[in-house]
Amino acid sequence: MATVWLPFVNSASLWFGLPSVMVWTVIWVLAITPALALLEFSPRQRDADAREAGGGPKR
Amino acid sequence: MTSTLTVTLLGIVLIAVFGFLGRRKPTGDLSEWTHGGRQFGAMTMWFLQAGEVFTTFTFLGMAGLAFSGGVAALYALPYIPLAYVGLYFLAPIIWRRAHERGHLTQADFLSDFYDSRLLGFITAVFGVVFLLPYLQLQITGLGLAVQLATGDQTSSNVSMVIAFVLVVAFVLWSGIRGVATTSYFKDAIMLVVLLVLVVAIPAHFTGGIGATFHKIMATHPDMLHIHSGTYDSAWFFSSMVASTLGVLFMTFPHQWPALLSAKSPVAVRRNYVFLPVYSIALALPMIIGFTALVVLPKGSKSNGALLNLVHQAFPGWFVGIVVVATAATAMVPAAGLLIGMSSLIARNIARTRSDRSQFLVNQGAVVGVTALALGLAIARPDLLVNLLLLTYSGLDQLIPAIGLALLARKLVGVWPVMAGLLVGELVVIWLTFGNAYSGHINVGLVALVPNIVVLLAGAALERTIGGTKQERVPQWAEIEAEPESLR
Repeated sequence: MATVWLPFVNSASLWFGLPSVMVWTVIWVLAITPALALLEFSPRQRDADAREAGGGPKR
Repeated sequence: MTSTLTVTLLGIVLIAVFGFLGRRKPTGDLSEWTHGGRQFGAMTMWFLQAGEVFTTFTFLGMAGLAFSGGVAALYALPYIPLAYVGLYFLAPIIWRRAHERGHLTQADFLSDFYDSRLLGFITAVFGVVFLLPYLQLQITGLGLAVQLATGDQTSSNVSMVIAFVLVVAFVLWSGIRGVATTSYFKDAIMLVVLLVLVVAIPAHFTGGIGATFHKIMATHPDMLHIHSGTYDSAWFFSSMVASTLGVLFMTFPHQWPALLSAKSPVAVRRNYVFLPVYSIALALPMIIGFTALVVLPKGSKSNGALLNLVHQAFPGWFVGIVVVATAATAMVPAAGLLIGMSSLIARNIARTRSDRSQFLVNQGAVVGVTALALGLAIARPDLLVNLLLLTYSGLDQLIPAIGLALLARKLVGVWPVMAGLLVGELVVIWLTFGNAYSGHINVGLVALVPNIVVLLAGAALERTIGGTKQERVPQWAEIEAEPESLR
């Protein structure tokens, strides 16, 4: 969200042949999936799901 | 009939066939029709929700926005994945409560939490009114694609009518299951077509993607960064925030059937883990839009940029396949919109006495709403254009109501919420049509300020006169513990 205020990103420049704003945005969006996957497949989440399957979530 | 039109019409029929395959026998149960018996796993949910993301706006509009606004178009890339981060935590709460309380629509959820049918009615009316121009946009998008590909207005009108008569037919037959089966086809053809185009179009016109951006660097460097002007930093940031909040708080009524059709909270969460990767595909039409920047003359129609290049670079039959992909991005989201709108009309607007009459109203609404949008798309295509400006900003005004309804306790009663909502909507209308605002900050975000101020003032007044009871919403564990007879 801060993209527009980062001068090294929001400039008329190319990274790997693509606009810097595009590369920066794509990298951050791609980082969301592994970050959420870490939560989703953590032992804690597995335990919570097991408890829920056994009689409602304990939140 | 040209090869382009032949392929287009065959493709439209094929999309409808996929829709009919969604169900063997039609159902008379609105819950089954709307949510498919709440049995969809993460994979089906993924396609259903991806289906909502990739519309004709994505296919034609993103290329057009990159053509006219450069990298400012990238505001549209992160907002949905950002909303998914929040939905990973919030959507299971909505799913559980809706599952337990038998909600079918967004308005059901709100009217139940605030214990007010009036609030349900008002939010349903706003939902239908604001989604109608969005539905029309899908129809005109399909018509535009056919017109640009064939150069013939009659073919465009005929294609719109055939496509949307078929959409109505498969939606009536299959409900959300039809949306799911057409989504598989839509996403497959759309991704294949986009991958072909993103390689072939820059290669054909400029020598490749790298060469395209080096040319832009030399000729239009301003398009590579966000600067002052129409698409400035305020526009970029506020559009992204307003859109993220709108998706995060499920303000679009057609988001609800897809979410509530999940078979478990795990399916809901898994979906949000993997959907962000798919959102990257939004960058593909943008690259094609950038290519148009160095190929098409200044002043060319931005929404036609992608199809204009396709027309110049490919034979007629392949242009037809691209139009079929565009038609799929119109027909499938339109089917989802119809389910969202018709269920609001049947459940929250019309007063019905039995499940059977509710289902009949729902089916009638599918036909009526499509006929209205199709008629306007052909006869008065500009009539709803202005109303479309209100769609996102207007639905954003539901954020406080839905946000508070996600809490375990009712902190604010219905009247402050309703007053805030109505003030927010009035401010959106005034700022949009009253020539009262020339700033670049998103109107929906601006109107949220008086919306929340009125809500807080109302809540304070409610506390002062002692009208608020901070009722607790029953939680899953408590509901599970209740004897069956009490539910």
